[in-house]
Amino acid sequence: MWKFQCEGVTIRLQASTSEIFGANLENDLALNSDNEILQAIVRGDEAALASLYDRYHTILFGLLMRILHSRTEAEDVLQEVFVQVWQRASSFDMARGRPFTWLVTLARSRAIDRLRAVRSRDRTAQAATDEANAPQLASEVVDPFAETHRSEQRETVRAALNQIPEEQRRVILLAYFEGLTQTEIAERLNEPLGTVKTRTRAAMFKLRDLLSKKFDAAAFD
Amino acid sequence: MTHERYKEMLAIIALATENAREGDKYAFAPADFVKDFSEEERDALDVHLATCAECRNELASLRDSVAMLAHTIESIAPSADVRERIMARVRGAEAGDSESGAPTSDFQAKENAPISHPVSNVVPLISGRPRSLVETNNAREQSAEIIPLPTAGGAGRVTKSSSGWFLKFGMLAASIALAATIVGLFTLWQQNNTLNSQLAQLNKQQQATNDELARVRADRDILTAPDARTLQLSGTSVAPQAHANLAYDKQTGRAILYAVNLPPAPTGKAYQIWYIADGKPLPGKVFKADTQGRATLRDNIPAEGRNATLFAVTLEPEQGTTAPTGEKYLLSASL
Repeated sequence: MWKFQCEGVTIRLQASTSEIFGANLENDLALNSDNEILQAIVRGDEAALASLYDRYHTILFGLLMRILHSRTEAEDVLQEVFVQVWQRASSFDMARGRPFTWLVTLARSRAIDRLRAVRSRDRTAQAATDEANAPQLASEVVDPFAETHRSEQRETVRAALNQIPEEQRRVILLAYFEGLTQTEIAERLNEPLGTVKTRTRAAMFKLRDLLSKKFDAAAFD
Repeated sequence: MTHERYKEMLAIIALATENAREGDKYAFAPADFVKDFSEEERDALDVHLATCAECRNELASLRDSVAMLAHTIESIAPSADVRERIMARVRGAEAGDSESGAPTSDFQAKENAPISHPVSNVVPLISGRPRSLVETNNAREQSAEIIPLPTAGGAGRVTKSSSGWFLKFGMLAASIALAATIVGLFTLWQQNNTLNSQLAQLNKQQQATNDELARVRADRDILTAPDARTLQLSGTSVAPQAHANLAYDKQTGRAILYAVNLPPAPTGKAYQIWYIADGKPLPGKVFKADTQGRATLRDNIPAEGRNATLFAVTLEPEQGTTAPTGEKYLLSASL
């Protein structure tokens, strides 16, 4: 085995990219923001779509797997989402949220549409499919040592969610991951509709306030 | 309804999914929303959102917060062929558009991205094909001055001597015109060759620019990848002034190294990068520095090397080695 020894030189770890590659690179990096990529997609740049896919496919696929619990369905929906991005990029409106928000909304929407369609199928067959797919989840999880930025975001969002009272958290997670309306949540939890709406509102505003303290505007992307 | 009531409704709308159908009645409210509020409430909110920027911004920030919930889920990689399937569908959709005559994305790209518009599409200014002798003769006939012959009974009766003079003059004029035409054609042909040569050079430069742009974009992709890592390598005692920056994408393995102040490699030798994971050095590409000691290396880190905790550059035989044998010139800190 060949061993390395540090030879008494001064070493800096993980300096910022602007320090390493010059201040102009910060401006250059801004050109590859999600908005820039979407604008390139509007112009018909296939490489931009591929770049967007490379940037977000793991997080979106994870979300789809969480909602659909089926690899086949999740991959189908993932394809559908990015084809929709290609077709509808020109309709993206910054005023309604960030590009990441739009992607996640598309993914959730198509997944929940699919989930509702799947719910009408034979549940036994679906359970067998889930079991067959479930063991693959662990092997496909992204390298645990990677994604420092994303894992920080993950911990921050989870921490914020944990600060929301459990009964409020439950209603927004039911809406988010299962696509239940307020009425359906009230039926599921056997709670009055008004109570569910109140908890949802409280949870949403608290989540927004907690996250806005943790992240600045740029870090949302 | 009060403004506070509208804001309360926004919290619920922000959680709902997006309309899958075009042309739905409510511009801001997704389909599911309709199940949670009365038609009167929906109509009022729709009108309010069209006029209230504060509420639109509130809705946007709530939606952004909701989207962040996706981060609570562990990232999972789909099958590797999903990407290609998406791109194939996109290209298939473009082909369909072009058949129907609608503007394609390629058309839009060419229209809006000047860099990607190849110079080779420019039509040469001059065809410059030398004419055949028949064409030349035809041209001479067309360009020669035509002198009408007067009628036999008129005052302008042509005598034999004057007709001969006219003929000689005409032939001379035609010869001069022919010579001028030939010279002109030759000049045009030369200019055409020069322009073609310049065009070829411009095409070459354009290609080089496009290649460089592609490399820069690829480098930017590395830097902006979600799994991007950057670190520095410092010179060892044999090259204390040397320094390098390494950026790589842990997911794809694409890496780029910029090095400065590297001593020139002796003949038959080159620098080689190593990715040390679990104490085992994995070989990367070989490279050489220019006369000013600068080097740029683009490499693909093998999968087993992407968890490397140490990076190094050594001097090795020119063709590279499978295990390090030479002096270390650059070394990173242990991660």
